[in-house]
Amino acid sequence: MHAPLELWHRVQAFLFQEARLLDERRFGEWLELYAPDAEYWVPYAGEQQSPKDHVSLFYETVQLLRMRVDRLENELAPLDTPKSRVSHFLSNVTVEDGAELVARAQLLYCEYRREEQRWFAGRSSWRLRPEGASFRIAAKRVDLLNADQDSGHLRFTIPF
Amino acid sequence: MIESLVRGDAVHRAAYVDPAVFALEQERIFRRAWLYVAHESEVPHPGDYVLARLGPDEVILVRREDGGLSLLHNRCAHRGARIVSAPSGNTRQLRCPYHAWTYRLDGSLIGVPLAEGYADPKSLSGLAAVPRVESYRGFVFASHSAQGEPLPQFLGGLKSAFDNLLDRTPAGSVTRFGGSLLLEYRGNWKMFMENAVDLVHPGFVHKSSVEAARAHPEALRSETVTQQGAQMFLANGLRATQWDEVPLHAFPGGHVYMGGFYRQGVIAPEREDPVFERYREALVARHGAEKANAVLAVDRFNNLVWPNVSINARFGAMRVVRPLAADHTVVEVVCFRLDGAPAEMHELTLQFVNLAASPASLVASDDLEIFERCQRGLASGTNEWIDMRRGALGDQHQADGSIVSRGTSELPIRHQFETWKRWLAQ
Repeated sequence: MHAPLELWHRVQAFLFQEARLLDERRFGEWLELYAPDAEYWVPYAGEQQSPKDHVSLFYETVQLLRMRVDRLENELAPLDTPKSRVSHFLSNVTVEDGAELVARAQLLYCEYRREEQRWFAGRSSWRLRPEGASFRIAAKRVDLLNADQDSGHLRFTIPF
Repeated sequence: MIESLVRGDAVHRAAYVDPAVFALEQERIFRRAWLYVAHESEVPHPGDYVLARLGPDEVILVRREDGGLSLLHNRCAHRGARIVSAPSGNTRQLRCPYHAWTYRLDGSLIGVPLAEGYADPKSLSGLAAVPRVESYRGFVFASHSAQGEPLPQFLGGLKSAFDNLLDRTPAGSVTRFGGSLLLEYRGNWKMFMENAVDLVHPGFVHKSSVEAARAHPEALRSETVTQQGAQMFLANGLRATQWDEVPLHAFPGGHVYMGGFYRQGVIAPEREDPVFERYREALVARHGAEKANAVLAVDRFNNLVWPNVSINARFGAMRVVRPLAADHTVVEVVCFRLDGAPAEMHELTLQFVNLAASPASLVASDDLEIFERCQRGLASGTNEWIDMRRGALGDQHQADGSIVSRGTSELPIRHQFETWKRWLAQ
Protein backbone atom coordinates (compact mmCIF):
# COMPACT_ATOMS: atom_id res chain seq x y z
CA MET A 1 0.00 0.00 0.00
CA HIS A 2 1.43 3.36 -0.96
CA ALA A 3 2.01 5.70 1.93
CA PRO A 4 0.04 8.94 2.22
CA LEU A 5 1.67 12.09 0.86
CA GLU A 6 2.79 13.42 4.22
CA LEU A 7 4.55 10.17 5.17
CA TRP A 8 6.08 9.88 1.72
CA HIS A 9 7.44 13.38 2.09
CA ARG A 10 8.96 12.70 5.52
CA VAL A 11 10.57 9.46 4.38
CA GLN A 12 12.01 11.11 1.31
CA ALA A 13 13.46 13.94 3.39
CA PHE A 14 14.99 11.31 5.69
CA LEU A 15 16.60 9.48 2.76
CA PHE A 16 17.94 12.73 1.35
CA GLN A 17 19.42 13.50 4.75
CA GLU A 18 21.18 10.13 4.80
CA ALA A 19 22.64 10.82 1.33
CA ARG A 20 23.78 14.26 2.39
CA LEU A 21 25.51 13.03 5.56
CA LEU A 22 27.50 10.54 3.49
CA ASP A 23 28.36 13.14 0.86
CA GLU A 24 29.56 15.52 3.56
CA ARG A 25 31.52 12.78 5.33
CA ARG A 26 29.52 13.30 8.52
CA PHE A 27 29.83 9.61 9.29
CA GLY A 28 29.04 9.77 13.00
CA GLU A 29 25.71 11.47 12.31
CA TRP A 30 25.11 9.06 9.43
CA LEU A 31 25.39 6.03 11.73
CA GLU A 32 22.95 7.65 14.16
CA LEU A 33 20.27 7.04 11.53
CA TYR A 34 20.69 3.28 11.93
CA ALA A 35 19.08 1.06 14.58
CA PRO A 36 21.69 -0.76 16.70
CA ASP A 37 20.68 -4.11 15.18
CA ALA A 38 20.58 -2.86 11.58
CA GLU A 39 22.21 -4.61 8.63
CA TYR A 40 23.79 -2.96 5.63
CA TRP A 41 23.94 -5.21 2.59
CA VAL A 42 25.27 -4.81 -0.96
CA PRO A 43 24.73 -8.20 -2.63
CA TYR A 44 27.05 -9.56 -5.25
CA ALA A 45 24.25 -10.82 -7.47
CA GLY A 46 20.95 -9.10 -8.20
CA GLU A 47 18.80 -12.14 -7.54
CA GLN A 48 20.62 -12.90 -4.29
CA GLN A 49 18.16 -13.93 -1.57
CA SER A 50 20.47 -14.06 1.39
CA PRO A 51 23.93 -12.89 2.48
CA LYS A 52 24.42 -16.27 4.18
CA ASP A 53 24.73 -18.53 1.15
CA HIS A 54 26.60 -16.33 -1.30
CA VAL A 55 29.42 -13.80 -1.23
CA SER A 56 28.46 -10.12 -0.96
CA LEU A 57 30.24 -6.87 -1.66
CA PHE A 58 29.23 -5.50 1.76
CA TYR A 59 27.39 -7.34 4.51
CA GLU A 60 27.90 -5.46 7.73
CA THR A 61 26.44 -4.84 11.13
CA VAL A 62 26.32 -1.33 12.58
CA GLN A 63 29.42 -2.09 14.65
CA LEU A 64 31.35 -3.09 11.53
CA LEU A 65 30.11 0.03 9.78
CA ARG A 66 31.38 2.04 12.73
CA MET A 67 34.86 0.56 12.32
CA ARG A 68 34.63 1.26 8.60
CA VAL A 69 33.88 4.93 9.05
CA ASP A 70 36.29 5.35 11.98
CA ARG A 71 38.91 4.19 9.57
CA LEU A 72 37.87 6.71 6.94
CA GLU A 73 38.41 9.43 9.52
CA ASN A 74 41.84 8.05 10.36
CA GLU A 75 44.58 9.72 8.33
CA LEU A 76 46.45 6.41 8.16
CA ALA A 77 44.19 4.52 5.77
CA PRO A 78 46.03 4.28 2.42
CA LEU A 79 42.69 3.52 0.79
CA ASP A 80 41.32 6.94 1.60
CA THR A 81 44.44 9.05 1.09
CA PRO A 82 43.68 11.22 -0.80
CA LYS A 83 40.09 11.23 0.39
CA SER A 84 37.29 10.14 -1.88
CA ARG A 85 34.54 12.60 -2.70
CA VAL A 86 31.13 11.16 -3.38
CA SER A 87 27.75 12.36 -4.50
CA HIS A 88 24.59 10.32 -3.92
CA PHE A 89 21.60 10.98 -6.18
CA LEU A 90 18.24 9.47 -5.22
CA SER A 91 15.11 9.52 -7.35
CA ASN A 92 11.89 7.58 -8.03
CA VAL A 93 11.34 7.32 -4.29
CA THR A 94 8.42 5.10 -3.31
CA VAL A 95 7.20 4.26 0.17
CA GLU A 96 5.06 1.31 1.18
CA ASP A 97 3.44 1.32 4.58
CA GLY A 98 2.36 -2.22 5.30
CA ALA A 99 3.49 -4.64 8.00
CA GLU A 100 6.66 -2.61 7.89
CA LEU A 101 7.71 0.65 6.34
CA VAL A 102 9.71 0.06 3.17
CA ALA A 103 11.27 2.77 1.02
CA ARG A 104 12.78 2.25 -2.41
CA ALA A 105 14.75 4.56 -4.68
CA GLN A 106 16.91 4.59 -7.75
CA LEU A 107 20.51 5.41 -6.89
CA LEU A 108 23.24 7.15 -8.85
CA TYR A 109 26.55 7.34 -7.00
CA CYS A 110 29.52 9.27 -8.26
CA GLU A 111 32.95 8.98 -6.69
CA TYR A 112 35.98 11.11 -7.45
CA ARG A 113 39.44 10.19 -6.24
CA ARG A 114 42.78 11.28 -7.62
CA GLU A 115 42.28 11.68 -11.36
CA GLU A 116 39.45 9.22 -11.70
CA GLN A 117 35.68 9.61 -11.58
CA ARG A 118 33.53 6.47 -11.25
CA TRP A 119 29.75 6.12 -11.54
CA PHE A 120 27.52 3.43 -10.12
CA ALA A 121 23.82 2.97 -10.68
CA GLY A 122 21.40 0.75 -8.85
CA ARG A 123 18.41 0.41 -6.59
CA SER A 124 18.37 1.03 -2.87
CA SER A 125 15.81 -0.18 -0.40
CA TRP A 126 15.38 0.54 3.28
CA ARG A 127 13.33 -1.02 6.02
CA LEU A 128 12.47 1.83 8.37
CA ARG A 129 11.22 1.99 11.93
CA PRO A 130 9.23 5.08 12.86
CA GLU A 131 10.81 6.85 15.81
CA GLY A 132 9.07 10.01 16.96
CA ALA A 133 8.75 12.29 13.97
CA SER A 134 11.65 10.57 12.23
CA PHE A 135 12.87 7.04 11.51
CA ARG A 136 15.68 4.58 12.11
CA ILE A 137 17.05 2.34 9.40
CA ALA A 138 16.56 -1.31 10.33
CA ALA A 139 18.07 -2.63 7.10
CA LYS A 140 19.46 -1.19 3.91
CA ARG A 141 20.08 -3.07 0.71
CA VAL A 142 21.76 -1.67 -2.40
CA ASP A 143 21.66 -3.60 -5.67
CA LEU A 144 24.24 -2.26 -8.10
CA LEU A 145 23.61 -2.83 -11.81
CA ASN A 146 27.14 -4.10 -12.22
CA ALA A 147 27.66 -5.76 -8.83
CA ASP A 148 28.95 -8.93 -10.47
CA GLN A 149 30.94 -7.20 -13.20
CA ASP A 150 33.24 -9.68 -14.99
CA SER A 151 36.28 -7.45 -14.72
CA GLY A 152 35.92 -7.06 -10.95
CA HIS A 153 35.81 -3.84 -8.97
CA LEU A 154 38.40 -1.47 -7.67
CA ARG A 155 38.02 -0.88 -3.96
CA PHE A 156 34.90 0.73 -2.49
CA THR A 157 35.30 3.38 0.17
CA ILE A 158 32.27 5.42 1.24
CA PRO A 159 29.08 3.35 1.54
CA PHE A 160 26.36 3.63 -1.12
CA MET B 1 69.17 -11.41 -20.82
CA ILE B 2 66.11 -11.99 -18.62
CA GLU B 3 68.37 -13.54 -15.97
CA SER B 4 70.04 -10.19 -15.53
CA LEU B 5 66.80 -8.77 -14.07
CA VAL B 6 67.15 -10.85 -10.91
CA ARG B 7 70.18 -10.68 -8.65
CA GLY B 8 70.23 -12.47 -5.30
CA ASP B 9 69.73 -9.22 -3.45
CA ALA B 10 67.57 -7.18 -5.80
CA VAL B 11 65.22 -7.30 -8.76
CA HIS B 12 65.06 -4.86 -11.64
CA ARG B 13 61.93 -2.71 -11.79
CA ALA B 14 61.31 -3.94 -15.36
CA ALA B 15 60.00 -7.16 -13.78
CA TYR B 16 56.94 -5.16 -12.70
CA VAL B 17 56.52 -2.46 -15.32
CA ASP B 18 57.89 -3.58 -18.69
CA PRO B 19 55.22 -4.84 -21.15
CA ALA B 20 57.88 -6.94 -22.91
CA VAL B 21 58.65 -8.75 -19.66
CA PHE B 22 54.92 -9.25 -19.15
CA ALA B 23 54.61 -10.79 -22.62
CA LEU B 24 57.49 -13.13 -21.83
CA GLU B 25 55.82 -14.15 -18.55
CA GLN B 26 52.64 -14.96 -20.45
CA GLU B 27 54.55 -17.13 -22.93
CA ARG B 28 56.93 -18.90 -20.59
CA ILE B 29 54.96 -19.15 -17.35
CA PHE B 30 51.26 -18.79 -18.14
CA ARG B 31 51.48 -20.88 -21.31
CA ARG B 32 53.60 -23.60 -19.71
CA ALA B 33 53.05 -24.03 -15.98
CA TRP B 34 50.21 -25.90 -14.31
CA LEU B 35 47.49 -23.34 -13.56
CA TYR B 36 44.37 -23.74 -11.46
CA VAL B 37 41.22 -23.92 -13.62
CA ALA B 38 38.21 -24.84 -11.47
CA HIS B 39 36.98 -27.41 -8.98
CA GLU B 40 35.36 -30.69 -10.04
CA SER B 41 32.32 -29.95 -7.84
CA GLU B 42 31.44 -27.17 -10.31
CA VAL B 43 30.75 -29.77 -13.02
CA PRO B 44 29.31 -32.80 -11.18
CA HIS B 45 27.03 -34.15 -13.96
CA PRO B 46 27.56 -35.09 -17.63
CA GLY B 47 27.05 -32.00 -19.78
CA ASP B 48 27.89 -29.56 -16.95
CA TYR B 49 30.30 -26.84 -17.97
CA VAL B 50 31.95 -23.74 -16.52
CA LEU B 51 33.88 -20.99 -18.22
CA ALA B 52 37.36 -20.53 -16.83
CA ARG B 53 40.63 -18.77 -17.59
CA LEU B 54 43.84 -20.56 -18.41
CA GLY B 55 46.55 -17.95 -18.56
CA PRO B 56 45.58 -15.50 -21.29
CA ASP B 57 42.86 -17.74 -22.78
CA GLU B 58 39.24 -18.43 -22.02
CA VAL B 59 38.46 -22.13 -21.74
CA ILE B 60 35.42 -24.33 -21.13
CA LEU B 61 35.67 -27.10 -18.54
CA VAL B 62 33.11 -29.77 -19.50
CA ARG B 63 32.06 -33.02 -17.83
CA ARG B 64 31.69 -35.59 -20.62
CA GLU B 65 29.17 -38.45 -20.73
CA ASP B 66 31.96 -40.89 -19.83
CA GLY B 67 32.57 -38.92 -16.62
CA GLY B 68 35.90 -37.50 -17.78
CA LEU B 69 36.77 -33.84 -18.08
CA SER B 70 37.47 -31.90 -21.27
CA LEU B 71 39.11 -28.53 -21.29
CA LEU B 72 38.40 -26.75 -24.57
CA HIS B 73 39.26 -23.35 -25.94
CA ASN B 74 36.10 -21.23 -26.04
CA ARG B 75 36.60 -20.37 -29.67
CA CYS B 76 34.81 -21.84 -32.67
CA ALA B 77 37.13 -23.69 -35.04
CA HIS B 78 35.40 -21.91 -37.93
CA ARG B 79 35.36 -18.10 -37.54
CA GLY B 80 36.61 -17.85 -33.98
CA ALA B 81 33.41 -16.80 -32.17
CA ARG B 82 33.07 -17.57 -28.47
CA ILE B 83 30.92 -20.69 -28.26
CA VAL B 84 29.72 -20.32 -24.68
CA SER B 85 28.87 -17.02 -23.01
CA ALA B 86 27.05 -18.12 -19.84
CA PRO B 87 29.47 -18.58 -16.93
CA SER B 88 28.11 -22.08 -16.31
CA GLY B 89 25.36 -24.43 -17.48
CA ASN B 90 24.51 -27.85 -18.81
CA THR B 91 24.44 -28.84 -22.46
CA ARG B 92 24.38 -31.95 -24.67
CA GLN B 93 26.57 -30.42 -27.31
CA LEU B 94 28.44 -27.19 -27.98
CA ARG B 95 27.06 -25.16 -30.82
CA CYS B 96 28.48 -21.96 -32.26
CA PRO B 97 25.92 -19.12 -32.43
CA TYR B 98 27.43 -17.77 -35.68
CA HIS B 99 27.21 -20.51 -38.36
CA ALA B 100 26.09 -23.41 -36.15
CA TRP B 101 29.20 -25.55 -36.24
CA THR B 102 28.38 -28.18 -33.63
CA TYR B 103 30.72 -30.13 -31.36
CA ARG B 104 30.57 -33.08 -28.96
CA LEU B 105 31.51 -32.55 -25.31
CA ASP B 106 35.03 -33.76 -26.08
CA GLY B 107 35.36 -30.98 -28.68
CA SER B 108 35.15 -33.20 -31.78
CA LEU B 109 33.10 -31.85 -34.65
CA ILE B 110 29.61 -33.31 -35.14
CA GLY B 111 28.75 -31.36 -38.21
CA VAL B 112 28.66 -28.09 -40.11
CA PRO B 113 25.90 -26.64 -42.31
CA LEU B 114 26.45 -26.98 -46.07
CA ALA B 115 29.05 -29.71 -45.59
CA GLU B 116 28.49 -30.77 -49.19
CA GLY B 117 30.20 -27.56 -50.31
CA TYR B 118 33.53 -28.70 -48.80
CA ALA B 119 35.83 -30.93 -50.82
CA ASP B 120 36.75 -32.85 -47.64
CA PRO B 121 34.42 -32.02 -44.72
CA LYS B 122 36.11 -34.71 -42.62
CA SER B 123 39.24 -32.59 -42.55
CA LEU B 124 37.49 -29.77 -40.65
CA SER B 125 38.76 -29.27 -37.08
CA GLY B 126 36.99 -29.63 -33.77
CA LEU B 127 37.48 -27.31 -30.81
CA ALA B 128 41.07 -26.99 -29.70
CA ALA B 129 41.66 -28.91 -26.48
CA VAL B 130 44.16 -27.95 -23.78
CA PRO B 131 46.90 -30.61 -23.97
CA ARG B 132 47.29 -31.38 -20.26
CA VAL B 133 44.46 -31.45 -17.71
CA GLU B 134 44.80 -33.12 -14.32
CA SER B 135 42.91 -33.06 -11.11
CA TYR B 136 44.59 -33.11 -7.72
CA ARG B 137 41.91 -34.42 -5.32
CA GLY B 138 39.19 -32.49 -7.16
CA PHE B 139 41.19 -29.32 -7.92
CA VAL B 140 41.53 -29.15 -11.69
CA PHE B 141 44.77 -27.76 -13.08
CA ALA B 142 45.85 -27.52 -16.71
CA SER B 143 48.81 -26.55 -18.81
CA HIS B 144 48.97 -25.11 -22.31
CA SER B 145 52.16 -27.08 -22.80
CA ALA B 146 52.12 -30.76 -23.81
CA GLN B 147 55.41 -31.30 -21.97
CA GLY B 148 56.42 -30.83 -18.39
CA GLU B 149 56.42 -32.47 -15.00
CA PRO B 150 53.25 -34.18 -13.72
CA LEU B 151 50.92 -32.10 -11.53
CA PRO B 152 51.70 -33.74 -8.14
CA GLN B 153 55.38 -33.13 -8.73
CA PHE B 154 54.70 -29.51 -9.71
CA LEU B 155 52.63 -28.91 -6.54
CA GLY B 156 55.44 -30.47 -4.52
CA GLY B 157 55.59 -29.21 -0.94
CA LEU B 158 52.26 -27.41 -1.28
CA LYS B 159 50.19 -30.54 -2.00
CA SER B 160 49.84 -30.44 1.77
CA ALA B 161 47.63 -27.33 1.54
CA PHE B 162 45.01 -29.22 -0.50
CA ASP B 163 45.43 -32.30 1.70
CA ASN B 164 44.82 -30.27 4.84
CA LEU B 165 41.74 -28.62 3.33
CA LEU B 166 40.29 -32.08 2.53
CA ASP B 167 41.35 -33.50 5.90
CA ARG B 168 39.33 -30.73 7.51
CA THR B 169 36.10 -32.05 5.97
CA PRO B 170 34.02 -34.61 7.88
CA ALA B 171 32.87 -36.14 4.55
CA GLY B 172 36.27 -36.16 2.84
CA SER B 173 35.36 -33.72 0.07
CA VAL B 174 34.83 -30.02 -0.57
CA THR B 175 32.26 -28.29 -2.76
CA ARG B 176 32.58 -24.89 -4.35
CA PHE B 177 29.78 -22.62 -3.21
CA GLY B 178 28.71 -19.04 -2.79
CA GLY B 179 29.82 -17.54 -6.10
CA SER B 180 33.06 -15.63 -6.46
CA LEU B 181 34.29 -12.12 -5.80
CA LEU B 182 36.44 -10.33 -8.33
CA LEU B 183 38.67 -7.47 -7.39
CA GLU B 184 40.74 -5.40 -9.71
CA TYR B 185 43.86 -3.31 -9.26
CA ARG B 186 46.20 -1.34 -11.51
CA GLY B 187 49.37 -3.06 -10.48
CA ASN B 188 51.51 -6.06 -11.33
CA TRP B 189 50.21 -9.55 -10.46
CA LYS B 190 53.37 -10.52 -8.55
CA MET B 191 52.71 -7.82 -5.96
CA PHE B 192 49.70 -9.75 -4.71
CA MET B 193 51.69 -12.98 -4.34
CA GLU B 194 54.54 -11.18 -2.55
CA ASN B 195 52.32 -9.18 -0.23
CA ALA B 196 50.28 -12.23 0.83
CA VAL B 197 53.34 -13.47 2.75
CA ASP B 198 54.85 -10.11 3.73
CA LEU B 199 54.51 -9.87 7.48
CA VAL B 200 55.99 -6.44 7.99
CA HIS B 201 53.37 -4.47 6.05
CA PRO B 202 50.29 -5.23 8.23
CA GLY B 203 51.54 -3.06 11.08
CA PHE B 204 51.67 -0.09 8.72
CA VAL B 205 49.23 -0.68 5.87
CA HIS B 206 46.46 -2.06 8.06
CA LYS B 207 47.03 0.22 11.02
CA SER B 208 43.79 2.12 10.51
CA SER B 209 41.62 -1.02 10.74
CA VAL B 210 43.65 -2.27 13.73
CA GLU B 211 43.01 1.04 15.48
CA ALA B 212 39.33 1.03 14.53
CA ALA B 213 38.94 -2.43 16.08
CA ARG B 214 40.93 -1.48 19.21
CA ALA B 215 38.64 1.50 19.70
CA HIS B 216 35.63 -0.84 19.87
CA PRO B 217 36.50 -3.70 22.24
CA GLU B 218 32.78 -4.37 22.69
CA ALA B 219 32.74 -5.76 19.14
CA LEU B 220 34.58 -8.88 20.37
CA ARG B 221 31.64 -9.69 22.63
CA SER B 222 29.09 -9.05 19.92
CA GLU B 223 27.38 -11.41 17.48
CA THR B 224 29.55 -13.71 15.37
CA VAL B 225 29.79 -11.57 12.25
CA THR B 226 31.05 -8.54 14.16
CA GLN B 227 33.38 -10.66 16.30
CA GLN B 228 34.95 -12.22 13.26
CA GLY B 229 35.57 -8.83 11.70
CA ALA B 230 37.05 -7.36 14.86
CA GLN B 231 39.32 -10.36 15.38
CA MET B 232 40.48 -10.18 11.79
CA PHE B 233 41.34 -6.50 12.06
CA LEU B 234 43.07 -6.93 15.43
CA ALA B 235 45.16 -9.85 14.17
CA ASN B 236 47.08 -7.43 11.94
CA GLY B 237 48.18 -5.50 15.01
CA LEU B 238 50.95 -7.84 16.22
CA ARG B 239 54.30 -6.36 17.17
CA ALA B 240 57.33 -6.95 14.93
CA THR B 241 58.72 -9.51 17.39
CA GLN B 242 55.43 -11.42 17.24
CA TRP B 243 55.39 -11.38 13.44
CA ASP B 244 58.90 -12.77 13.58
CA GLU B 245 57.55 -15.85 15.33
CA VAL B 246 55.21 -16.66 12.42
CA PRO B 247 57.36 -19.04 10.36
CA LEU B 248 57.69 -18.84 6.59
CA HIS B 249 58.37 -21.99 4.56
CA ALA B 250 59.56 -21.92 0.95
CA PHE B 251 59.57 -25.04 -1.24
CA PRO B 252 61.23 -25.91 -4.54
CA GLY B 253 58.99 -24.72 -7.37
CA GLY B 254 58.35 -21.28 -5.86
CA HIS B 255 55.65 -22.32 -3.38
CA VAL B 256 55.46 -20.69 0.04
CA TYR B 257 53.32 -20.91 3.12
CA MET B 258 53.17 -18.90 6.30
CA GLY B 259 52.14 -19.93 9.78
CA GLY B 260 48.98 -18.71 11.44
CA PHE B 261 48.63 -15.49 13.35
CA TYR B 262 45.01 -15.57 14.49
CA ARG B 263 45.62 -16.21 18.17
CA GLN B 264 41.91 -16.35 18.83
CA GLY B 265 39.48 -16.62 16.05
CA VAL B 266 36.23 -18.00 14.95
CA ILE B 267 37.78 -21.00 13.22
CA ALA B 268 40.83 -21.34 15.47
CA PRO B 269 41.33 -24.89 16.79
CA GLU B 270 41.07 -23.74 20.38
CA ARG B 271 37.64 -22.32 19.78
CA GLU B 272 35.02 -23.53 22.23
CA ASP B 273 31.49 -23.11 21.06
CA PRO B 274 28.59 -25.36 20.13
CA VAL B 275 29.05 -25.09 16.36
CA PHE B 276 32.74 -25.81 16.50
CA GLU B 277 32.15 -28.69 18.93
CA ARG B 278 29.70 -30.29 16.49
CA TYR B 279 32.25 -29.84 13.74
CA ARG B 280 35.05 -31.31 15.83
CA GLU B 281 32.88 -34.33 16.72
CA ALA B 282 32.12 -34.96 13.04
CA LEU B 283 35.82 -34.73 12.27
CA VAL B 284 36.70 -37.14 15.09
CA ALA B 285 34.14 -39.58 13.69
CA ARG B 286 36.04 -39.57 10.41
CA HIS B 287 39.65 -39.51 11.59
CA GLY B 288 39.73 -40.52 15.25
CA ALA B 289 40.63 -38.00 17.93
CA GLU B 290 44.36 -37.99 17.45
CA LYS B 291 44.36 -37.28 13.74
CA ALA B 292 41.43 -34.83 14.02
CA ASN B 293 43.44 -32.78 16.50
CA ALA B 294 46.51 -32.91 14.29
CA VAL B 295 44.49 -31.75 11.27
CA LEU B 296 43.00 -28.81 13.17
CA ALA B 297 46.39 -27.92 14.60
CA VAL B 298 47.81 -27.21 11.12
CA ASP B 299 47.96 -23.51 11.70
CA ARG B 300 48.79 -21.91 8.38
CA PHE B 301 47.37 -18.74 6.98
CA ASN B 302 48.20 -18.23 3.32
CA ASN B 303 49.46 -21.16 1.24
CA LEU B 304 50.84 -19.87 -2.05
CA VAL B 305 50.95 -22.24 -4.99
CA TRP B 306 53.24 -20.71 -7.54
CA PRO B 307 52.58 -18.85 -9.75
CA ASN B 308 49.12 -17.50 -8.85
CA VAL B 309 47.05 -19.29 -6.21
CA SER B 310 46.64 -18.55 -2.52
CA ILE B 311 44.74 -21.08 -0.37
CA ASN B 312 43.47 -20.57 3.12
CA ALA B 313 42.46 -24.07 4.28
CA ARG B 314 41.26 -22.98 7.72
CA PHE B 315 38.71 -20.63 6.20
CA GLY B 316 37.95 -22.67 3.07
CA ALA B 317 38.91 -19.78 0.81
CA MET B 318 41.08 -19.58 -2.29
CA ARG B 319 42.33 -16.64 -4.34
CA VAL B 320 43.43 -16.91 -7.95
CA VAL B 321 45.50 -14.06 -9.36
CA ARG B 322 44.93 -13.30 -13.03
CA PRO B 323 47.45 -11.05 -14.76
CA LEU B 324 45.85 -8.86 -17.47
CA ALA B 325 48.78 -6.53 -18.22
CA ALA B 326 52.03 -5.51 -16.54
CA ASP B 327 50.03 -2.96 -14.55
CA HIS B 328 46.59 -4.56 -14.38
CA THR B 329 45.43 -7.59 -12.38
CA VAL B 330 42.18 -9.25 -11.34
CA VAL B 331 41.95 -11.46 -8.27
CA GLU B 332 39.17 -14.03 -8.05
CA VAL B 333 38.14 -15.15 -4.59
CA VAL B 334 36.23 -18.43 -4.18
CA CYS B 335 34.82 -20.40 -1.25
CA PHE B 336 34.71 -24.11 -0.47
CA ARG B 337 32.17 -25.86 1.69
CA LEU B 338 33.69 -28.43 4.03
CA ASP B 339 31.30 -31.28 3.22
CA GLY B 340 29.73 -32.72 6.34
CA ALA B 341 30.50 -29.68 8.52
CA PRO B 342 27.70 -27.67 10.21
CA ALA B 343 26.10 -25.11 7.89
CA GLU B 344 27.10 -22.28 10.24
CA MET B 345 30.74 -22.92 9.33
CA HIS B 346 29.96 -22.03 5.74
CA GLU B 347 28.47 -18.73 6.78
CA LEU B 348 31.76 -18.01 8.53
CA THR B 349 33.65 -18.78 5.34
CA LEU B 350 31.50 -16.31 3.42
CA GLN B 351 31.89 -13.71 6.12
CA PHE B 352 35.66 -14.20 6.14
CA VAL B 353 35.75 -13.67 2.39
CA ASN B 354 33.47 -10.62 2.54
CA LEU B 355 35.56 -9.03 5.27
CA ALA B 356 39.03 -10.01 4.10
CA ALA B 357 38.80 -10.09 0.34
CA SER B 358 35.85 -8.13 -1.03
CA PRO B 359 36.54 -4.91 -2.97
CA ALA B 360 34.89 -3.25 0.04
CA SER B 361 37.12 -5.07 2.55
CA LEU B 362 38.72 -2.90 5.21
CA VAL B 363 41.87 -5.00 4.81
CA ALA B 364 42.30 -5.87 1.11
CA SER B 365 41.41 -2.38 -0.08
CA ASP B 366 44.48 -0.92 1.65
CA ASP B 367 46.72 -3.58 0.10
CA LEU B 368 45.40 -2.84 -3.39
CA GLU B 369 45.96 0.87 -2.90
CA ILE B 370 49.57 0.16 -1.92
CA PHE B 371 50.09 -2.02 -5.02
CA GLU B 372 48.89 0.86 -7.18
CA ARG B 373 51.28 3.24 -5.44
CA CYS B 374 54.16 0.80 -5.99
CA GLN B 375 53.23 0.49 -9.65
CA ARG B 376 53.22 4.26 -10.08
CA GLY B 377 56.46 4.63 -8.17
CA LEU B 378 58.22 1.90 -10.12
CA ALA B 379 57.28 3.58 -13.40
CA SER B 380 59.88 6.22 -12.60
CA GLY B 381 63.43 5.16 -13.24
CA THR B 382 65.21 6.93 -10.42
CA ASN B 383 66.55 3.68 -9.08
CA GLU B 384 66.49 0.63 -11.34
CA TRP B 385 66.87 -1.96 -8.55
CA ILE B 386 64.45 -3.04 -5.86
CA ASP B 387 66.09 -4.39 -2.75
CA MET B 388 64.88 -7.74 -1.38
CA ARG B 389 67.48 -8.58 1.25
CA ARG B 390 65.38 -8.17 4.40
CA GLY B 391 65.97 -11.10 6.76
CA ALA B 392 68.27 -13.00 4.38
CA LEU B 393 70.70 -13.77 7.19
CA GLY B 394 68.04 -15.87 8.92
CA ASP B 395 67.18 -18.20 6.02
CA GLN B 396 67.68 -21.83 7.06
CA HIS B 397 68.05 -24.48 4.36
CA GLN B 398 66.41 -27.76 5.32
CA ALA B 399 67.38 -31.32 4.36
CA ASP B 400 64.21 -31.70 2.23
CA GLY B 401 65.17 -28.77 0.00
CA SER B 402 62.83 -26.28 1.64
CA ILE B 403 63.90 -23.06 3.31
CA VAL B 404 62.53 -21.78 6.59
CA SER B 405 62.78 -18.22 7.80
CA ARG B 406 61.42 -15.87 10.40
CA GLY B 407 58.17 -14.11 9.58
CA THR B 408 59.69 -10.75 8.79
CA SER B 409 62.06 -12.10 6.14
CA GLU B 410 61.71 -11.27 2.44
CA LEU B 411 62.49 -14.93 1.73
CA PRO B 412 59.21 -15.41 -0.22
CA ILE B 413 60.06 -12.57 -2.61
CA ARG B 414 63.61 -13.85 -3.20
CA HIS B 415 62.30 -17.38 -3.61
CA GLN B 416 59.49 -16.47 -6.01
CA PHE B 417 61.93 -14.49 -8.16
CA GLU B 418 64.41 -17.38 -8.30
CA THR B 419 61.61 -19.56 -9.66
CA TRP B 420 60.42 -16.80 -11.98
CA LYS B 421 63.90 -16.39 -13.41
CA ARG B 422 64.23 -20.13 -14.03
CA TRP B 423 60.92 -20.32 -15.94
CA LEU B 424 61.61 -17.20 -17.99
CA ALA B 425 65.11 -18.33 -18.93
CA GLN B 426 63.93 -21.67 -20.33
